[in-house]
Amino acid sequence: MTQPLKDLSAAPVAIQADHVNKYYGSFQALKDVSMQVKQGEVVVVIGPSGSGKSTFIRCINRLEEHQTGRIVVGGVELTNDVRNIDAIRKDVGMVFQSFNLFPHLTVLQNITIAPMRVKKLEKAAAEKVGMDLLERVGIPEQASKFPGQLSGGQQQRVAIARALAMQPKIMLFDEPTSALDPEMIKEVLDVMKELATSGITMMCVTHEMGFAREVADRIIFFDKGQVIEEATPDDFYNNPKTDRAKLFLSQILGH
Amino acid sequence: MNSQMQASVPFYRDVKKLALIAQVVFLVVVVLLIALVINNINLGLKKQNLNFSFDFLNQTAGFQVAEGTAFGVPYDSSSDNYFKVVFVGLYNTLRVAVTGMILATVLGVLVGIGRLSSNWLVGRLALVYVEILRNTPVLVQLFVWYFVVILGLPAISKAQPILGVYLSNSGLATPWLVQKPDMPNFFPVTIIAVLIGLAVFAFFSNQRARTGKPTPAGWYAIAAWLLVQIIGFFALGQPLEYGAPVRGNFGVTGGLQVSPEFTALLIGLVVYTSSFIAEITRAGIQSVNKGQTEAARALGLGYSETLQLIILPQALRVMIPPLGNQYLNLTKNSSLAVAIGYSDVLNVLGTAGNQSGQNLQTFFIAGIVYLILSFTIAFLVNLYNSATRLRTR
Amino acid sequence: MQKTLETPTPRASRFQLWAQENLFSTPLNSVLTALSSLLILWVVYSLSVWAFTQARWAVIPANFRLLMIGPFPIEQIWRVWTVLIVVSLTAGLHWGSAAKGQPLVRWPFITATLIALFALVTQWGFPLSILVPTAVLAVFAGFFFGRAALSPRAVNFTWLGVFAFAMIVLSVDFGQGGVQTRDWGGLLLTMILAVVGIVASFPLGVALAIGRTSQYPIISAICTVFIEVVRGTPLVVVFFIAQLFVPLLLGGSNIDALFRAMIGITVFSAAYLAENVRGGLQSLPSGQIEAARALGLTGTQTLLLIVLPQALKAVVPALVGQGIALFKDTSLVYIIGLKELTTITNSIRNNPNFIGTEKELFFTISVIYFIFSYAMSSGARNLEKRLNTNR
Repeated sequence: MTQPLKDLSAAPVAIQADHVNKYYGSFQALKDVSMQVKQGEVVVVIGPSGSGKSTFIRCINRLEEHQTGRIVVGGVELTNDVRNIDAIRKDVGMVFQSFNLFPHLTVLQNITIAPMRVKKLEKAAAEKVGMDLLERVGIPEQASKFPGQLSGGQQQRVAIARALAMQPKIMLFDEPTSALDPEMIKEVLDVMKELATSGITMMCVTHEMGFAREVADRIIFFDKGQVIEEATPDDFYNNPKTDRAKLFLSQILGH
Repeated sequence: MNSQMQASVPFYRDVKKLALIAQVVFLVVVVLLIALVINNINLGLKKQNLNFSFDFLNQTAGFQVAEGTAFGVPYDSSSDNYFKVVFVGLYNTLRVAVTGMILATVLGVLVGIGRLSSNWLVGRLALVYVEILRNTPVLVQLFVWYFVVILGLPAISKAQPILGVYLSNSGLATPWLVQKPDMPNFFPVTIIAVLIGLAVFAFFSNQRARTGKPTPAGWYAIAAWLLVQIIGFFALGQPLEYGAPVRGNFGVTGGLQVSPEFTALLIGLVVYTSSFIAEITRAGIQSVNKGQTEAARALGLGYSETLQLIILPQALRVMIPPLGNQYLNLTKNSSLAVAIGYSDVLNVLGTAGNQSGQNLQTFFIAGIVYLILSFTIAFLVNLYNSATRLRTR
Repeated sequence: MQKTLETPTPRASRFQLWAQENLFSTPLNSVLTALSSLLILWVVYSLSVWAFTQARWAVIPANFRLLMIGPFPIEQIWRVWTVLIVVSLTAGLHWGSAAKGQPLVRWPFITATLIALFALVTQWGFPLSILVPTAVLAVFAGFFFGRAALSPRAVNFTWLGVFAFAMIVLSVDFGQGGVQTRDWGGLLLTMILAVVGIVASFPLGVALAIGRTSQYPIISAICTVFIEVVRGTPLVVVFFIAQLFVPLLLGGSNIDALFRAMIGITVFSAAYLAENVRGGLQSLPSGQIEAARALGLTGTQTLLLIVLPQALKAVVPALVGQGIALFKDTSLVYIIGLKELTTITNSIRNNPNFIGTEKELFFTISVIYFIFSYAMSSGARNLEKRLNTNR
């Protein structure tokens, strides 16, 4: 369970959040959230369901809008400025719980659509990138199939490849294995682990404790819209400081 | 701090402002279009020396309406105005639409159940019925009913009564309870009785749901309805009497008489709409998961209890919205009355428009009338929908 | 059926077993079977008696040209034939491209038979002995070429070209006089109205649906009001209003009655189409849009590349249903006096030479309407199957 700690102290900041608040009507989903992710860092966000962790990660590429506070991604502040939002989305890839592959496009078309339409890449070049990525996630033979013909694990690997095709600097994972059958979780986690060692900045919302221990540089614990605890995996699991974290750990590890 | 940062964003890059601008531009374009339309229409009217006013409604109408004036809206063409004649037409529209809805539902549900019958022949027959009716225009069907079937019947002088009912090319005449002319109108009593019946039904179904005791809410409702009808009948001093059609020298008198146009329109609309309702019924019943039947049977419910308590309530929930659409279509299709000369609201308005030279206004009124009818039906369907919606997280 | 095969009873044939199971399983079913049989026998019997001994079918061939093309001038009939042959060719291409690698499917045969049948009962102008085989040949030529060389998408665009071509050929003056649109009639006019309605209402309907589901409240409200007002009004009233308002709107000039009817049917159909498309748009999981935006696609790209292709595919059956309804609704222009199939039929009925032939006439046009509507709905079922196997 020990991994060589990366020295991130000198690395530039990838994601910076200061005093972020978000409301749905009168319900406050995020309460004064402040945090920092360094470039190349792998952060795992955990917490009970409804704790705001997914909301927070979706705020980072403006799928949700925060009301007050500052979010700066790769040096660009997330404001109402269209140019900033576009710039951030180009740098941030996202993988969803329910895959969200485009069912009317083939696997390869799913991967090449953004490079071709957003980066204006030639078709041949985009397909080369796409095939390389499919190779990387281990399913090049599925390129011409439709998502509906693939297993859940394969679909999620395509979704990862699709996000990587835009060559993002940061990858966000929103519970990537929660919708998968148990036997398929490993194949997706393997791809994510490989990704984690490649030096890309990653922020994962997940319940996979094994994965968190193995690859995370840091764990952030969310509850009721707040950051309760930040620690290295070893510290967090062996020595949680807050009562809420202790309770949460006892609930998920207790059986 | 945040707001200061935002302030430096030029408006053409600010998502919020862009959204607002898009909407304002759209609104301005629409308003300009409407203004253009109104302006052009005004100019056009001026050219033709017309003006868009509804004053003519107060003028005496002066034309006869074939039906709907005896029982429905009392109307005298020599003194009553256009405004009143519209109501005669509206009464005729409502008469055919409401009767049509009830009969189309009954026929449609029967055919729909026939489609699912375990009897192969019945299933096929229902399928042919549905396919023929759905794949030919309703107007052609109306023509067939009117010109071929109804007008093809024998003349009234040669018609043979069946159980006192005369069916001839001058329509239908049947024994009926007839309103005595000098007595209070019995119709409101019927409305009140139906409402009370519905209330009783709602009360006892609710009771059944709360206490779990088997209560025949349907029977109680029918009993209450009949009771109110009967009490009302005697309380008003027996305003109805039995009347049977009698053939005289100039056609039939007495009983309930229905014009050939009404008969053709009603049959046409009922038969056409029933084919759609049949498909809705079939889809509704099929939509109920097979597991539901199995679960109900496993709990020990009998066949009719399963149908009544488990299948029908769930099928109804699926059926009601499209059924509402069909009621709407039936009401709108009743405007085809124009083609066979039944005096519905559109027909009457058309005559009024031609006679007064105010076509623009009369069709405008027609549009409004149908909108009100449509929205009323839509509102009732929505009301039912929200009352029976599945509660889910 | 499986069960019946596994347990063969010595003397019972498969038919007997089938009948036992499907017709006489219970006493009630036996009664129903008997009643249905009686009903069928009675209908078939009376229909046959009427059709073979009483009906005066001569009215149909005598008026066939009127029913097909209305008052279209006979010396200009080459225009209709040109369009018919081009349409036959395109239809062949269409079925051919759809039947890649498959044997000859039945639609070309059916069309060829129909064309030949029409020819048999008419004696209108021009040497039919050349034109009819040309049209039939065009269907098969199109089929084989389409099957060998064309993609369905290419043919879809060809249809739009054919449509424009047909409108020009049917009206424009090429030096020897054109044809007025008021001389279009019969089935030809029914077809033109239906095609114009479907083609023109599609973009409008999709735009209205997008507007109604828009996140911008003002746009959504305006589109909703428009859709609901049109849907709440009967088509007949829409036609009347179009007849009166369109000329006023466009400056009171003398505007073609057909054009006004086309505007009416387009607006009406668009409102219904919008509701169907809205169903497709709302059935799309929100994750699809989120994924597209997260990838950096713009709003327009998301709409065109992700949302619409899926939403439209989901509502294909509803759209075809809408097309059939529109095809049937063209009969309502009878009310405003355009000479399409139903109107022509009524005028023949009122012709003193053909008094008392309404049965024959209405039977014939019902069959015509039925063939086209039924063809559309079974075409839709095929299309649905093809779309489903795609994934």
